[in-house]
Order: sequence, then structure tokens, then C-alpha cells
Amino acid sequence: MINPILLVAIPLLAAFLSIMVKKLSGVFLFGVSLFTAIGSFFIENGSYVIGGWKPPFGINLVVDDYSFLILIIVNILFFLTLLNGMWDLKKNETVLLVTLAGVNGIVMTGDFFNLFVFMEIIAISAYILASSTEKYYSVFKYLILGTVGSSLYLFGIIILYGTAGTLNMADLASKLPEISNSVKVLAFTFIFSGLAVEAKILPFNSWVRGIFGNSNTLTGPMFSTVYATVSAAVVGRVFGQILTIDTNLIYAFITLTLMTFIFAESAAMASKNLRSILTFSSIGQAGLIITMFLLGGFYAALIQLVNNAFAKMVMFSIATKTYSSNEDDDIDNLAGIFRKHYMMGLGFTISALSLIGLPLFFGFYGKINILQTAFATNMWIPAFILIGSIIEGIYYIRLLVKLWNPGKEGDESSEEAGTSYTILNGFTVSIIALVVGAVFVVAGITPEFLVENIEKAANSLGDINTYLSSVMGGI
Amino acid sequence: MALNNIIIQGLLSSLIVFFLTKFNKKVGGFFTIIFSGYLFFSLLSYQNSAGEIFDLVKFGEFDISFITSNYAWFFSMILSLTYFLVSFFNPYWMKKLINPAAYNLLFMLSMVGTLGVFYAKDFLTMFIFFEIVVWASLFIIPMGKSRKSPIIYYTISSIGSFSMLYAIFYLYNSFNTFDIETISSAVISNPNEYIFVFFLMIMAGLTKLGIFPFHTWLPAAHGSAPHTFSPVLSGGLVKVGGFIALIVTAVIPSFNIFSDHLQIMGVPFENYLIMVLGGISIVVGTLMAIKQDDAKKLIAYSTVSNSGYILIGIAMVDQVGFAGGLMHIFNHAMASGAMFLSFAGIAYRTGTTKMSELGGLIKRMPLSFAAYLIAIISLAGIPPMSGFASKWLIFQGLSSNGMMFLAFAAFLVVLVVLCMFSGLCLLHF
Repeated sequence: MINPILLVAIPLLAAFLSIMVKKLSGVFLFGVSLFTAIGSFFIENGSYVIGGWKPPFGINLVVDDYSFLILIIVNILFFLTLLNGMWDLKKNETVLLVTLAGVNGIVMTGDFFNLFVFMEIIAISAYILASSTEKYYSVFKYLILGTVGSSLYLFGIIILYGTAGTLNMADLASKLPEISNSVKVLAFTFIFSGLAVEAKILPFNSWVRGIFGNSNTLTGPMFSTVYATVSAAVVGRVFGQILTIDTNLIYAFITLTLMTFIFAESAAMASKNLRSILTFSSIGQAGLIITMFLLGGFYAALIQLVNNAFAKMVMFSIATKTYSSNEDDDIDNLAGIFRKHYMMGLGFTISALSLIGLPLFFGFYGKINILQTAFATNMWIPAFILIGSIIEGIYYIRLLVKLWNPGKEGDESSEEAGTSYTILNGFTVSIIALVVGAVFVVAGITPEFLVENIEKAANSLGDINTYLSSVMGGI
Repeated sequence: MALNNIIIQGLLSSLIVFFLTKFNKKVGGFFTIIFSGYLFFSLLSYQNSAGEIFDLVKFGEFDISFITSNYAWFFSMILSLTYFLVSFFNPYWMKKLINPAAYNLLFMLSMVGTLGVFYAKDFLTMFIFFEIVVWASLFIIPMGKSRKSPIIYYTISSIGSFSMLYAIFYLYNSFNTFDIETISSAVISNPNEYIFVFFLMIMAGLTKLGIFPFHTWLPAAHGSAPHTFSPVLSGGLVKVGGFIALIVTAVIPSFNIFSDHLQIMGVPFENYLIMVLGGISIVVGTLMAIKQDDAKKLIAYSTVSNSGYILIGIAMVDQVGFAGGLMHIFNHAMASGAMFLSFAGIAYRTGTTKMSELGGLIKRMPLSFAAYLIAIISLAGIPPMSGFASKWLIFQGLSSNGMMFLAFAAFLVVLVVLCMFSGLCLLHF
């Protein structure tokens, strides 16, 4: 058993050391990331007080089944992303270590201001990482929107602090019924808008295209999996458990997230580049997952979160590898590339089919849970979700058909018509793609072996009393 | 052999075939014959079995299980026979395909998928296998001539299957079960709710059958699929749509449920609407078929019109007409399979399926010609062939209910088909 504070402290310490001992920074990065990936399995549930001040006065980290699950996923994804992107590190080892600390902190923190601090840490790391692709205009846009978002978030929590006098999550959750509705609406809207920037929800997601669409083998998988998972998970924690919305405001939020889903999927259908297709698909999936969190379908949301995170990791790794090898990712020019790279093709295909939610793959289990949850609340939401997933299916199938079957329209598909492009340094990606693909297939046939932990996490997210007693029990 | 074991063996056989084909193309092709024949013969013994339940796996909190029934046996026999017969072409076709291993894998997988649809005990199982059929057959089509047609196929197919999924969850939300039998007894007391479900569900059947507004995927997909897979698509997979139509109209007794609703010619207006769509497809399919130069597109359009017959027969739920519809499923499966395969043989020799480039084949390929001739005579409904019997039954059902308009449309089409096919035969063979 290890203390979860170490998951934040050790990466931070290593970040400082890596500045002093430049030569060993790579060793620090991979070592620490491996340590957190393994260490996250060995943490125990409970509330951990930092600095001796008990909550609600001091800052505390909370480990429950929910943050435990997210920590494991995120740390594994972080390590795999590093393996995929080790040719594109570009001396960003220190930044990545800080990111790791921030990511682990944001998942576990039990305090709204602390959440803000960690959010800023990972946002600043994200700006630096994104600028390594040298698309400065998009990074600048990201910087502006990110700053606006965090200011809005800060406004929101200031309002709550002014009314309730506390920023501790557990304390605030228990004081929430005393706050008047009009204050809640204002504060929640600010907080939601602030979180929506990172979570890629509609009016605040114009930065995503420039950042994801121009990503390299490190930043692509990093943003689309680690960052996406964490930001969706934070929305789940904040709006699913702590700040439960009991007014009509929730329909405004759900409208936004559903619109994000449908518009992003439509935009993906209109895209011709592999990375932009995946970008828009990421935005769409974020919309879907957060819709589920807001509807209270934590189980469905978490299944889709896991499904999306791992599928996108495989797909974004392959897409960015393709781009970095050929300086091009137009899908017409890539026709038939999977004929040369069987293993990557297989992993990519399974991931895509799982993301669409076709049976025999894990995503199907997610889809039926999503529909079940959506139907329990409203007749229209499942209809919109199905329309969105038809669109999603169409462009993924189009992509897969092109990448597997070269050939002019009207001629039999043949090897001669295939692309001349190849994917370099693809060994690790192939292995990871195959392993993820195999897990998707096995979990698609018997989901039990994966969903037990997800179910526990969903239950703990739905159960505010256990959360409260684990934090406030120490007072 | 228990049914669930047969399905599992089918799934495993698709993997085995995949690796065998990687090892040697011809061997893999021969093994598809063995495995599909094995599935066919092991299912034969379920002829008289009804109501036996077999569990496959537990899928989360849901059970995936099968139940035997007479109509499921009938459909599964037609489908597995079609697959079995077509599979004899596979070994010779392997060298023409870009990815033979994937072809064989998906060939077996789609076969198992169709069997799962027929024997499904509940709607969820049915949907799962339905979608497996869709994506398995989907990835075979682009190995042929077109990369666009699978997308048309997927789009139309998923419009159908997702509206079915919506209906399934709508029912689940109301009755808290997916079980077909339980639902069919529960909806009898809620006829107005069932209207909504009826149309959403039958969408899946209509799209798969290629009924009028959704007919565009048939010529695109059947016309450009690899030559050995077109007969499966047309003779086999289209019939899955017929099965869905059968479930929503007959297994769930739509006649009893809608008995208080507006009746047109003795048929509830819901069923009548479906029959009219079937009638339109008969006319549209035939008229479009006349214009085609590519033989495969022509057969695909004739599939549209024959799907119309099948749908009319099934939606009528008149004893005679219904029997005709079911019999026509068998006739069309065999006949369109024979037509597509004889053109596969022609394409194997000549490399083209355009009829304007062919001629005088009767001397060079007399056997293919004979098979083609028999098939079209049967499809046109000329007496000595079984197609006559099924069409006659459908007419009789229609005319005994006084639906002269539909009967006339159907009859007119028979004449057109007769003229067209015999003309084509004379011209091009």
C-alpha cells in the first residue's frame, strides 16, 4: 500500500530533479510514469489530509472507487502514450512530469480551489506541449480560451465561497441545500463554462481543431486520451456528485452537450484528414460522455469513457504515426495502408468498431447501457444519441473501407492501387493496438471481467453519503 | 448437437478459416465449404423442435439466449443452404480477392450472424446478431468494385437497425423485458403504443429487404460486391429483412393487435401501408431493372421487386398469401443465387458482367446458361417451376381479399419480367 499523495509528489519532485540533471530526465520520466501506473493499483480508499489541517479548513485528497478507477486508467494511458510518443518528446520531459502530477492531483482532490490549481498546472503544460508542434496560432487560441475558461471557473467558485463560506467539496455538498437557487444557477453556469473549455463542450471548443488536428505522436494521444479522460471525469465528479443540479438548468447543459455530440459528428463526416476526423470524433464523444454524467447514468458514462479513451489512444497513435512518417494524412492518399501494416490495421479497426458500438466489441455494451439510461429519463435524448451514432458509424466505416481496400471506383480492389506510404517506428503501436483490440473483443463477448470495477466506481459516484462520511468522518 | 454449441462452433470456425487461409488460400476456401455444410446439416435436426431454450452467454445483466421454432428453422435452412451452396465457389475465387483470409472470416461470421437472428429468444439477441451480419457483410463488399457502396449499405442499414434498436428499448422501458414472447402477449392490450413500435421495427425489415424508399443500396452493394458474395447478399441476407417483417407482423400478431383500427380491404391500415410499399417496390424494381446493362445490377433490381412480393405475402397474414410469401423466400433465394452464380462463372471466364459485351455464350457455357434459364423461368413465375406456385399463392391471397390493385400491379410485373428476361436471354446468350 502506498500513500496516494506520492502519486502527486513524486512526479513533482522528479520534475525538479530533471531540470537539475538534464541527462537523466528521460529516465525520470519513464521511471516515474511506470511507478505511478503500477502504484495507482496499490492505493487505499479514504481521505488524505495534507499539511495537518483537517477538512474543511485544509486541503485533502479523496480516494474512492471512482477516483481509483480514473487514476488507474489515466496512469496506464499516460505510460502507453509515452511509449508511443517517445520519438516526439522534444525535451519536454519536465513538462510531462508536471502534467502527470497535475493529472493525478486533479482526479483525487477534494477541494474546489485545489482543483483550480491543478487545472491550471495541466493547462499550462498543455500549452507548452501543444507548442512543440509549432502551430503557434492554434496554441495562442487555446491559451486565450483556456484562460477565459479558468477565470470563469474561478468566478463560479468565488460565488460559492461567498455564499457558503467553504470550498471543500464535501463541506459544500452538505451545505448546498441552503444556497438559494438563483445563486446556484449563476455559480453552476460559470463553473460549467469553465470546465467546458477543457471538456470540449460546444461554445468553448473552437480551440480543439487546431490543437488536435495538428498533433504529433506525443500530443495527439496525450490530449485525446489522458486530458480527455481527466476533463470528463472532473465534470462527472463536480456535476454528477458534488454540485447536483435540481433545476431546469440541467436541460440547458444537456442541450449543449448533445449539440456538441451531433455537430461534432457531422463535422467529422465532412473532414478528409485522418487526424481531423479523430479530433471531431473526440469532441463528439466528450459530448456524449458528459451528457451521460449529467443525466446521472454514471455506469454508462464510465463505460463509454473507458471505451473511448483506449480506442482513441490506439487510433490517435496510429494516425499521428502515419502523419509523422509521411507528412500527410489525407485519407484518399492513405488508401490501402493497412494492407502493409496488418497488426495496426486490426487494432485500429477493432477500436473504431468498438467506438461505434457494434456488437462483439466492448463498445456495444456501452451503447446499450447509454440507451437504457437515456430512455429512463426522456424519449428524445436516445433518439438524438442514435442519430449521432449513425453519423459516427458512417464516417468510421468510410475510413476503414478506404484504408483496407485500395482501388479505383469501378475496379476490383487490388494491391497495385495501394498507397506508397508506410508507417515508421510502428512496433510499439502495433503491440499496444493488438492488446487493446483483444481486450475489446473479449470484453465485448463477456463484459463482466471489465465492468466490475466500473460498476463500483459508478456506485461510489452516485453515493454522496459515503463520500461525505469518508471526508468529514475525521472532523 | 445443442444449438448454442453450433453457434459457438460457427464463431470459432470463422477464426479457424481465417488462419487456414493465411496458411494456404485454397485450403481456407475448401474449409468454408466444410464448415458451412456442417452448420447446415447440424441444424437439419431442429425441424420439429419448438420452444427449446439454449443459453449462450450472460451479457452484463442481460441473457443472450436462443429458442427453437418452426419458422426459425425454415429461415435458417434457406440461409445456411444458400451459404453452403455458394461456398463451393470460394476456393476458386480466392486468387481474385485482395484479402482472402478476411473474406472467409467474414463469410462464416455473417452466416453465423444470420442463424443467430433467426433463433434469437429476445430482441437484444436478435439485434446483436443482426448488427454482426451487417458489419461482417459490409467489409466484404469493398473487396469488389466499389468503395462507396458499402457506405450506402451501412447508412441505409443502420437507419433501419437503429430505429429497431430505438423500438426495442422503447419496449424495454415499457415492459422491462426484451423477450419476444412476453412482449407479444403484452402489447395486445396496448395497440396504440404498438403502432409506433411496429413502424420503427419494420424499418429494419424494409431496409434489409430493399423496399421502395430504401432500395438504393441493393444495386449499389449487390452490383459491386465480389461475384461470389452477391448471391449471398441477394439470396441470403435480404431474407433477414423478411424475417424481421415476419416477427413484427405475424409472430407478434399484428392482426389481432390492430383489429380495432381502420381496416382497408380487410387488412389493418398499418399492414396495408406496408403492402402498398411492397407493391411500389415490385413496380419500381422491375422498371429499373429493364434499364440496366450490368447483369448484376439487373438482378439486384429484380431482387427489389421480389422483396416486394415477399413483403406483401408476409404483411397480408392471409393464410394462403402468407404461405406464398414464405415459399417465395425460398424460391427467390435459390433463383437469385443461381443467377448471380452463373454470372459469377461468366465473369470468372470473361472478366465482365456487362451484357452488351457478352453474346453467344450458350455455345461456350451451356451449363451456366441452363442454370440461368431455369432460374429466370422460376422467378418470372412460369408454371413448371416453383416460382409459379409461390406467386400464384400470393395472387390468390390478394384477389380473395379483393385487393385487385395490388394484384394487378403484381401480375403486370410478371408479364414485364417474362418479356424482359426472355428477350435478354435471346439477345445475349
